[in-house]
Amino acid sequence: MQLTLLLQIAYLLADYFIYRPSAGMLAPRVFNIGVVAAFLFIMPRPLFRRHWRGMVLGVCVAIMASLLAYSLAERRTGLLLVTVVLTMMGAGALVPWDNRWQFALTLTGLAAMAVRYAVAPASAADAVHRWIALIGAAGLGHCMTVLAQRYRREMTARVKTLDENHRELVREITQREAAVAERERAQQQLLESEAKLRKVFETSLDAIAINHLQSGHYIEVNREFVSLFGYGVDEVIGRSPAELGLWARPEQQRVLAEQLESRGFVRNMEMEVRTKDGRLLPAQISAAVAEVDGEPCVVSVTRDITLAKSAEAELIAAREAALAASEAKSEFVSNISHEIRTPMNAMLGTADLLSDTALSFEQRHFVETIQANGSAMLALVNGVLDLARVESGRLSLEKVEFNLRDLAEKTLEALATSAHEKKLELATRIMPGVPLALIGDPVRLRQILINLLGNAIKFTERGEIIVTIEALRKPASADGPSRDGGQGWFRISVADTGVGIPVERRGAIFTEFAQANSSTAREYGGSGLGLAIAKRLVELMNGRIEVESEVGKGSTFSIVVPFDLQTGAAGADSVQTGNEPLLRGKRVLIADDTLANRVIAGEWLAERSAEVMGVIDGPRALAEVERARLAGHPYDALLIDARMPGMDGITLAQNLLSNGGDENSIPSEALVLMLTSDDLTLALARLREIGFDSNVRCGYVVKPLKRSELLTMLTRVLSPIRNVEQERSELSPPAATAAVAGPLRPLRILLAEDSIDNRLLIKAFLKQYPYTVEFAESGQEAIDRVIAAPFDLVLMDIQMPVVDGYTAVRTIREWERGQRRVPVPIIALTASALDEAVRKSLDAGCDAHLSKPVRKATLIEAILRATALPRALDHDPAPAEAKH
Amino acid sequence: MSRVVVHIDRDLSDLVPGFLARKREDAAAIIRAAEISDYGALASIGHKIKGEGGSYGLDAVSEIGAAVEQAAKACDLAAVRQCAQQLAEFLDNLEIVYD
Repeated sequence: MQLTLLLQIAYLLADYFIYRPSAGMLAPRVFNIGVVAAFLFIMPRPLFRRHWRGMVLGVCVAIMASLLAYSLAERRTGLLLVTVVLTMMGAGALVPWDNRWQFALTLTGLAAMAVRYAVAPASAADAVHRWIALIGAAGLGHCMTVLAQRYRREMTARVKTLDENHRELVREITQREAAVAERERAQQQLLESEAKLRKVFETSLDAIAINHLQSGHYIEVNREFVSLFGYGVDEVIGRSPAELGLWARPEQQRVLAEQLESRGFVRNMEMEVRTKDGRLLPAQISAAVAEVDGEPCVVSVTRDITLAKSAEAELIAAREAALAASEAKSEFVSNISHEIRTPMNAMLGTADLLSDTALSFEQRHFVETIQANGSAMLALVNGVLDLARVESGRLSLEKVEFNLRDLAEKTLEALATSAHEKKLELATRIMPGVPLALIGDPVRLRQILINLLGNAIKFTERGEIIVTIEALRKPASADGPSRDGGQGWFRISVADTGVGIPVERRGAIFTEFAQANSSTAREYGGSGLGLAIAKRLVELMNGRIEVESEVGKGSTFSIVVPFDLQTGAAGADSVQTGNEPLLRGKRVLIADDTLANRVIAGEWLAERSAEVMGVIDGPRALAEVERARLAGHPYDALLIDARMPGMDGITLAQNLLSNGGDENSIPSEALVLMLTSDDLTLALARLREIGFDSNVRCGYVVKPLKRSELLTMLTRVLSPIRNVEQERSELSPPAATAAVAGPLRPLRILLAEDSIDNRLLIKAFLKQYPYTVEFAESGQEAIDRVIAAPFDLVLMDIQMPVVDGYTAVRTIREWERGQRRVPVPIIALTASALDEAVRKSLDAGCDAHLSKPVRKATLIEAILRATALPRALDHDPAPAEAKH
Repeated sequence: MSRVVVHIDRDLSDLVPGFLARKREDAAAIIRAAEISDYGALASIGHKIKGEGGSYGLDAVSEIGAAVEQAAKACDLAAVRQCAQQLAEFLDNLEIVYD
C-alpha cells in the first residue's frame, strides 16, 4: 500500500516537473496529492518508522526513472548516462544483498523500458507513464517481497518457537506416559509376584504360619497348616499355639522360644505336636524372626515327619537285627569252631597214638595223611576261631615284657623245618639301635609273624625269607631310666623271593578267605585266613600292615606297630658279655651262598669288632683260606653254610680238616658250620664221620641263625682251652633239643604227679639235663613245696587225689600275688587232650599244657619254652597302683 | 595170643620192670573195683593208666587205660572187665627190646 502511495507521489512529482501540467488535468492530480497527504497524515507512526527506507527508495527510484525517461525522450545522452550511473550506484549502495533479485528485476524493467522506447518511440510522455507504472509495479513487488520475507521470518520464528514448545510438551507427555506405564507394570508385577508367593504359600506341602512375635498369635496360616493340624483358618487366626495346645511337650516349646530369642531362627527342630483331634505327630520345625507388615513376626515351617520317623525306626531295627545276626554268626562260628576242635583234637591224638604203634609202611603213610590233614584242618579252625574272636572284639591284648630278638628268633626256629624242607633260607636281621626289651603282646606278635612267615614259605619256591626289624622313631626317653620307658614304633618286615602278588590283588589278600587268585588255593592250599587275622591283630595293636610285591620277584609284608619300652632296658640287647673280647680283631671268613646270611652274620661279627670277609661257595673259600695262610694272615675262624651249591659246607669242612694234617689235628682255623634243621640227623652223622664232631676247634649251629648262639659258638671254638667234655655235653644235646640249641641253664623243677610210673619216667626223661627234679604226690604237697622253697618250673598233673591240679595252681597263684612274687612257670599235665581241659588249666593260671602220655621231645621243648621268656609280675596289680 | 614186641629206649630199662609190675597190680585193682561197682575208682585208674603207658612206649597200655576210663564213665562193667583182661594178657605176652 505504501508502495503504491509512493509511486503515486513519484508519478505526481515527475508529471509536474517534466510536463507542465495542463489546466484540465490539475484537479485529479490535486486529488491525488490530497489522498496521499491524508494517507501520510493518517499513517501510523510505527508504520512510517518501519518503512521510511522503502519510501525514500521509491522516491529515489521515481526521480531516477523520470531523469532516465527525460534524457531518453530529449535524446540527451549525457544525462542518460549520468542517470544510469547514479541509479546503479544508488542501487548498489541502498539495495541490500538480500534483495538483489528484486533489484535485478527493477534493472531488467528499466532496461526493457529503454529498449522499448528506443525500438518503438511513442509519445515520450506516454512511454514515461507506462514505464513509471512498470517500475512502480516492480518496486511494489520488491516491497511486497521484502514484507513477505519479513513476515515469513517472523512467522518462521514464531512457528519455530511454537514448534519447540510443542516438542517440549510432547516430550514431557511421553515421559509422563512412560512413567505411568512403568508404574502400572510394576504394580502388575507386584500383583503377579504376590499371587505367586501366595500360591507358594498356599500350595506348600509344609505347614507355614506367621505368628506375632510378642503375643504369639497367628496372623496367617496356609492350607497345609489347616490340613495338618485340623483347625480352620478362623479358629487359628488371633490365637497362639499355646492357647490351641499345639505343643505336646512344653519343654520343647521352651527350647524353641529360647532359640528364636537367642539366634533369631531355628532349623529343623524336631518337636511333637498335637492336632485338633488330639493326635500326636512328630514334626520338624524351622522358624525365623522376620518383619511382616512392619511387625516383628515369626515365620515357621512345620513338616510332618511321621513317615521319616517310622523309616528311621525301621532302619534302626534293621541295623540292630543285623548286628544281632552278626553277633549270632560270630557266636556260632566261635561255638562251632570249639565243637570242631574238640573232636579234631581227639582224632589227632588218636592218630598220634596210632602212629606210635607198630605199623606197616602203608599204614604209616595213611596215618601220616590223617595227621597232616587233621593238623591243617585244626589250623584252619583255629584261624576261624581267632578271626571270630577278633571280630567280636573279644580278643584283648596283653601287656607283658618280652624280648623282640628272642621272639623273632624263636618264631623263625619254629618255622625252620618247613622252610628248610623247601631249601629256603630263613634269617632275622635286626638293625642296629633297635630297642629289644619291650612290653606288649608277644603271643599275638608271634602269631602275626607265623602267619606272614607261613605265607612267605608257602609261596616261595627257592631263595630266602628275611625278617628285618627296624625302629622307626627314636624313643624319647631311651637314654634316661625313667619310670615310663616310653613307646617305640617298629617295622617288622618279612621279605620273600616268591611268586609275588599282582597289583590288582594286593588289596584283597587281607580279606578273609581271599587269595591272590582262586587257583592259588588249589596250588598252594590254605584258607586265606592268615593275612586277614594278621591284619586284624596288627590293627588291634594300633599298627598297620603293608605289602610291596613284584610278580616273579617276591613280596615284602611289613607291619608297623608300637610297643612300650621296658624301663631302663633300652640297651638290653647283649649276649653274655664275658665272651666278647675274644672276638675283637678276629678274622672271620663267611662261606655262604645266601647274601642275606653273609650280611646278617657279618653285621653281628662286625658289632663285636671282628674282621669279616665273605665268599659265596666252597672252592672260593678254600682259595681264600689258602691265600690268607700264604699271606701270613690266616683266618681265625670260618663260618660255613652246610648247604651250598657245588661243594657243600661239610665237604668244605672236611677239606679244611684234612688240609690241616691228620684227622685229629687242630686246623689253623676254627670252624663253625651252619646246619639246616631238616636234614640234621644226616648232617650230624657226616660230621661224626669226618671227625668234625670230636674236634675242639669245630662246632655247629642250626639255622635260622640266632645271634647269641652264633657268637657263643664262635667264641667257644676260638678258645679251645675250656673243658672239652663240658662243652660236648652242652654242644651236642640229644636230637630232641637240637631245635633249641644253646647252653641249657640248670633248673629246679617240681613234678606234682600221683602216678609213680609217671614220676619215674619224667625223672628219667630229664636225667641228661642239668635239671633237679623234686616230687609232690598230691596237690596239697605241691602247694606246700612251692611255698617252702622257690622252683624254676612246676609240672602239675591235674587229676590228683584230695587237692587236684587246678586247685593247687590257683592256690599257688594266689599266694604269689599275695607275696608279690614273680609267678613260677607251671605246665599242666592232663591225660585228656580236649580243649576244655586245656582251657581250664590255662584259666587256673598254668602257662602251658601238655597232654599225657607225655613224649620226651615235647616235654623238653615245653620246659625250654616255659623257662625261656623273662617273667614279669603280670598278675600283680601292684605296678599299676604304683603308677598313680 | 602171640608175643607182642615193643621197642623201648634203653634209658628207660631201669624203670620198665617196675612199671610193668605196677600195671599188673592195676589190672588186679580194676577187677577188684569192678566187683564192688566202684565206677569212680575205675575211671581214676583208667585215667592214670592212660596217662602212663605211652610215655613208656607202651601205647597199648594207654589205650586200654582210656578204654577203662570210658567204660567206667559209661558204667559198663563188662567192658571194664574185658579191658582188665586185655591188659593182663598184653603184659603177659609182652616182649621188650631195649634200643
